[in-house]
Amino acid sequence: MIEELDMHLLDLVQNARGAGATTIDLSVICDDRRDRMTLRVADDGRGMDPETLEAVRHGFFSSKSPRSVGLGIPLLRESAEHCDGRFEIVSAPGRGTTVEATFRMSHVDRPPFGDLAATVLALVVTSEGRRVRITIRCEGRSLEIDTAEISEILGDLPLQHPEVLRFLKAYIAERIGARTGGER
Amino acid sequence: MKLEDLRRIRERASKEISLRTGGARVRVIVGMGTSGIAAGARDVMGAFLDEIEKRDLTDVIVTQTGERGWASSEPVVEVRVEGEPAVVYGEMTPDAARRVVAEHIVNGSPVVDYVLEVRKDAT
Repeated sequence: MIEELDMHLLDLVQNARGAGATTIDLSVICDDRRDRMTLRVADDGRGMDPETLEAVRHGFFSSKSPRSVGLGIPLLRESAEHCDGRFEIVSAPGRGTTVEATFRMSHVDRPPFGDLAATVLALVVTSEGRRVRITIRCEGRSLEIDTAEISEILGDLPLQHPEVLRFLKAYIAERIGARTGGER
Repeated sequence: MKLEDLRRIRERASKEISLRTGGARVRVIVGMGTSGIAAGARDVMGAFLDEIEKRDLTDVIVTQTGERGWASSEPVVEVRVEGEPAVVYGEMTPDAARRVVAEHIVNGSPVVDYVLEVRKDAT
């Protein structure tokens, strides 16, 4: 199942893409003093009406939601609440969707990071014209990356050109790769 | 390392790029819906990107899509080579992805062990 934080990030970003988002903001921020970790994904997609939002929040799907979008949301909510955190999803038609989940960092069941560096690389290089901004500040990891800034530098050179991939992989690893084994 | 270092890569690669005509020869579409991710799509996607980098493939694009109704066969990957039928692979693993790159994308023969469907309608 989805048991690592980076898998939740991929899932939330896929939801945003499915909602037609052109800008996706994603962050993982840790507050050591308060023992909190906050994961947040905000998009400018088409958003959801209250009925769909309620269905997604609880994992109930009616004929109004024929495609299995948002299946990972209840899992994230359960995981956050189980780890002394909270879960919030805000959405309205035409206003995009923001999902925020907090966890107690030190909770024994707090999901591990997974392969955060590989996930960030994948999110950046598959952005396909969308603006994806990623901020990670957690346990010595620190990264801010914005596909708009990268694309501006690259011009018509594709994000997946092998040399660009090599560069971005090293660039991301230098900032967040050191402790992405997922262990606390 | 600074992001600005990318400018040098761009300058170096720009000549080579200008020789290419049109889009990519191959599109690899990884199913990244919830069931795909739960089944391991993250590492499959990573393996494709890794092979592109290691083999210096400049004519392959990896992209992603949501659920496509193959839930029991996830992770699912569709490979579209220009001018050939699209091949849908199921129950992919990172090793299978590396085989698909070597045998299908580079050498032109689909990896039959993982084929779910061949779609002649696709371009």
